[in-house]
Amino acid sequence: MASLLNRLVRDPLTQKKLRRFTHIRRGYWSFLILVFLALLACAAELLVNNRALVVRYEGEWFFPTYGAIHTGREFGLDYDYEVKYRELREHFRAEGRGNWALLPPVPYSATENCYPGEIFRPRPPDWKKGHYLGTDQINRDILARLLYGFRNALLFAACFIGLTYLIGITLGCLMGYFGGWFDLLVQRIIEIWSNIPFLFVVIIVASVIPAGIGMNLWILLGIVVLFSWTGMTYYMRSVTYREKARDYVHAAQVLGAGTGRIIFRHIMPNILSTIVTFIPFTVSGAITALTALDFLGFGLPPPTPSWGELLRQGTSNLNAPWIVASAFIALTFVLTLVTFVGEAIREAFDPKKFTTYQ
Amino acid sequence: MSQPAASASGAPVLEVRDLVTTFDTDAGRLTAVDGVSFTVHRGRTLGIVGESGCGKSVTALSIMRLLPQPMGRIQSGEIRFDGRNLVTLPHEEMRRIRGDRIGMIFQEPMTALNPVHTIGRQLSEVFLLHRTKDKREALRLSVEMLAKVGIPSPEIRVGEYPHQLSGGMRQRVVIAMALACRPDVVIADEPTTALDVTIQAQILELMQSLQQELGMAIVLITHDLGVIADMCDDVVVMYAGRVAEAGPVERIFAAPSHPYTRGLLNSIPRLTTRRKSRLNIIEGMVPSLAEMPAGCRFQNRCPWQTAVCATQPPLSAVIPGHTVACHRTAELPPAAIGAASAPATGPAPVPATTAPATPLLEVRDLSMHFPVKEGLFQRAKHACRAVDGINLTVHPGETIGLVGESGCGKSTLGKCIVRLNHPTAGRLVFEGTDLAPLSARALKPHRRQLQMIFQDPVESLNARHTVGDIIAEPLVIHNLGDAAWRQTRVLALLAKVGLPANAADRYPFEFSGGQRQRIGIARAIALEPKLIVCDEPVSALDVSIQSQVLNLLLDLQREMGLSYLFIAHNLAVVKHVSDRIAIMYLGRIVEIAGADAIYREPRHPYTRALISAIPQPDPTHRQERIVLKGDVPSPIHPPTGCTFHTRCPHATDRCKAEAPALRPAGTGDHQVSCHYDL
Repeated sequence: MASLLNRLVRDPLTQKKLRRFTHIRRGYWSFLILVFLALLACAAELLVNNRALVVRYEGEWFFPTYGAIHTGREFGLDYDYEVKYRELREHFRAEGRGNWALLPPVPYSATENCYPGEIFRPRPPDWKKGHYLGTDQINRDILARLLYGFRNALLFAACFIGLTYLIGITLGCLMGYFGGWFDLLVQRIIEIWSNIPFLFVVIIVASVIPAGIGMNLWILLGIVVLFSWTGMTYYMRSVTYREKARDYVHAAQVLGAGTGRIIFRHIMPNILSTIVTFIPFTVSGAITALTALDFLGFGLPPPTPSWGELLRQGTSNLNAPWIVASAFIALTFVLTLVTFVGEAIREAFDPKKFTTYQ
Repeated sequence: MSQPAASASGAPVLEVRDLVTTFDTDAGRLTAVDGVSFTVHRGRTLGIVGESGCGKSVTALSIMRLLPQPMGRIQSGEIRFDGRNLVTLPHEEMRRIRGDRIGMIFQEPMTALNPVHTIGRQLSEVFLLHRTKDKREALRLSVEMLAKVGIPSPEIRVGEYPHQLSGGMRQRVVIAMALACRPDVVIADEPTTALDVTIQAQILELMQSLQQELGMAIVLITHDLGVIADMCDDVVVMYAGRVAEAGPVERIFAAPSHPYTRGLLNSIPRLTTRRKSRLNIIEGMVPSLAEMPAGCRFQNRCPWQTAVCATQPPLSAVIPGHTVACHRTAELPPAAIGAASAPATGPAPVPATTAPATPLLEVRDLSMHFPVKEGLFQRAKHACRAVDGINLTVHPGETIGLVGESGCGKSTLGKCIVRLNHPTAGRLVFEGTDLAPLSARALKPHRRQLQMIFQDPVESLNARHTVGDIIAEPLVIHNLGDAAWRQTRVLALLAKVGLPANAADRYPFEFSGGQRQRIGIARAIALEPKLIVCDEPVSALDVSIQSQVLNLLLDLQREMGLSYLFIAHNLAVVKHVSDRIAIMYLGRIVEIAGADAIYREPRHPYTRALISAIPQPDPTHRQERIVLKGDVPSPIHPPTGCTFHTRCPHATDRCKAEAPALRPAGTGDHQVSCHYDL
């Protein structure tokens, strides 16, 4: 597989297409912004977190972001649960003994109640406190939830693509290559399978999962993948059919190449480059699906940060428009970027670029 | 309305002056047509000849103003038609001229017709656009026009769809559409290239008779010098976007003055060329538009190139009416070209191998029937008898030519022999082993001895592998040597087929068609096989490249003692490389004989028609063709008796009832399957 990818990237045809892609500016910039956002999401703990980045205490350095939990007592406070770093920072300042704590730009986590002890109500953006987009109905920071929600969505989309394409490509390729009764049989199975209503299955599965396990990202992913791989097989089946009849495959057969060699070394590389054009649209599909499920309440369990859950809160708290506005703008922005990238890839990979007649 | 051609000739209808057409591509602006001028006269036929990439088709599209948008643009020049300049004409007026005053015939009749509309509807559209508002009147005119282009029972055919017609019939419909409004000029872009020789003969004859009747001027674009010699009054030879030479057809063929024209005429194999001799070739290939040499564009391939060629040669007259773009016309020796001249130079022909007792390959009663499934349950109701009882013997070092029209089963036979198809019946004895029943695993060791060269070098090379990988693949599959040994072997093979060593790291698309075919050949000989099935190995190549590849195949045969099964539709090419030739018709061999014998004294009426249908590149010998009626019947329901009786000019009642067997006739091993000695 690695050599296959390497071969695809080394291929000057692919490189030409990539070069063409970089010249389609809207798509290329969208791609750069998306990559930047994805990197931000990867480093979310450093940007939006209630743990300090650096703590200087009694001449010692602490980097609590990724490490184990530090208790309050370690920093001279009088409790044994995890340190509240925002309070610690104020405490050090008040002490004036040269100890200090550096917190991320947004010093809140996605699941924490930022106003413990106060009533639950959405609070509008407050730049002084660092709630740049306000808080939601149970006092959680919206920016934090957006960023971590985005990370979840990206993780979901990446795994979704990997799994659906793996199943879809393999099965579709085999169907196209072998044809005959195998093809017919699998086609019928797929048709039956794709007639099972997806939403009901999610509801049923969600209700029968033992409480000890609970719904989580991986189970949800499994269910969604189970009902989404079929789309890819149709495409793969037909392109494999087409490729199989081409002379280079015959040439390999005359040389004595076996089935595996023909599929993996000959047919696959010729098909995979066309699949790239689907990826952005699958990504936007996956993000939309996850958001929709969360919005309906069949998605990730609370308190997992997610955009669908934010949207739901927003629609039920229309008197707090910052919630729905944040989620809506973020979703639209990201999906638009992904679509622009998709368009640009499709254009860059189009062999018949600019051929229209008067 | 129709005027006799003779009285109208002489008046120019279309004049192209200094036409420059460019394309904007990723590689920058490319000039596809660079200063082309010519005049077309009423009732005459102008041929534009040249290899692919010479700008012939772009010239035609420029005249029609149908260049691909937005890349294509006419930069400068004039196209004068009927007192107007088509280059500056508004779209609206141009649309009125197109189809009405200037008609166009396209190469591919399948794609030129819309598959979802009936013939009648498509043809009526032309009349509705330009002639009448009444649909019924348009349909009546359509039926009339279909009758004119020789389509039987046109009133039924108007209701049919393109796929219900054969290739030849479709091209007749395309011609009917082009001629519907009796245009002054018809542009035919490779009108017969996609057709078989016997169908080509029908279409060419149709075009000639229609021209006589309607008096239109024809611009005939083709790469086939035979078609040019057969059809044209005047010729424009194009090379790399410029006119190399122009003049009357007899003059061009008798006294070609441009080195390119000479090279072309010298390089094509003719039926009269000595067999298996090396062909004179034009070295190299047409430069790509992005890297045109300054000055004369032919200089890098020209044997007479000197310093003066670095400047652009003007188009100057040799005699009035015959112009040439070459600096050195006056200094060149007179051209020694005629239909009967064998190549003057080149080594002696390959000595005919004396046939040893043990044949390399024996094909016995081989049949390949494809089931035709019908009905709800997809039961096999009929069989398509693609190959039907073939007997053939190939001796070591011998070339067997296999000739026939498309659909005759020649490619299927080739695929059966390399076991790409699993034959339905019969034996394939190769070096004492019957390959027909073997499984893929048992076949693998035999594959080393039995290789194939494919028709389309673009299709047959995997675009995602480097050339080195492609050539090394047979060695990898058969587990020969280590990586380092394979590497040296690849370089040796590249050298053998005349490619540079640095080709190994490049990809197929970086090479031209001829070079790609060389890569395919290198792959085929990598395992040092004994027999190579060549399935139309040169038919996708340009004329000047064809001879290079044929020479290579002959050289390799001499060096390696290879046997070839050479499948092609071009009898002249097959005759040039073969020792014996088998003619196939509807899955059967109708005649088999020594290559010279079959050409000198063809015995089967089909062979005779095939030979006479080949347009000879010699305008002084416009012989009477034997034009066969109709098309090749379907192999699903072949005619009873002799399968050829439906088209045979000599058919009798006996032919309809009784199938002839292959029987000895004439001298030597000449065999023919015909009841009569004609």
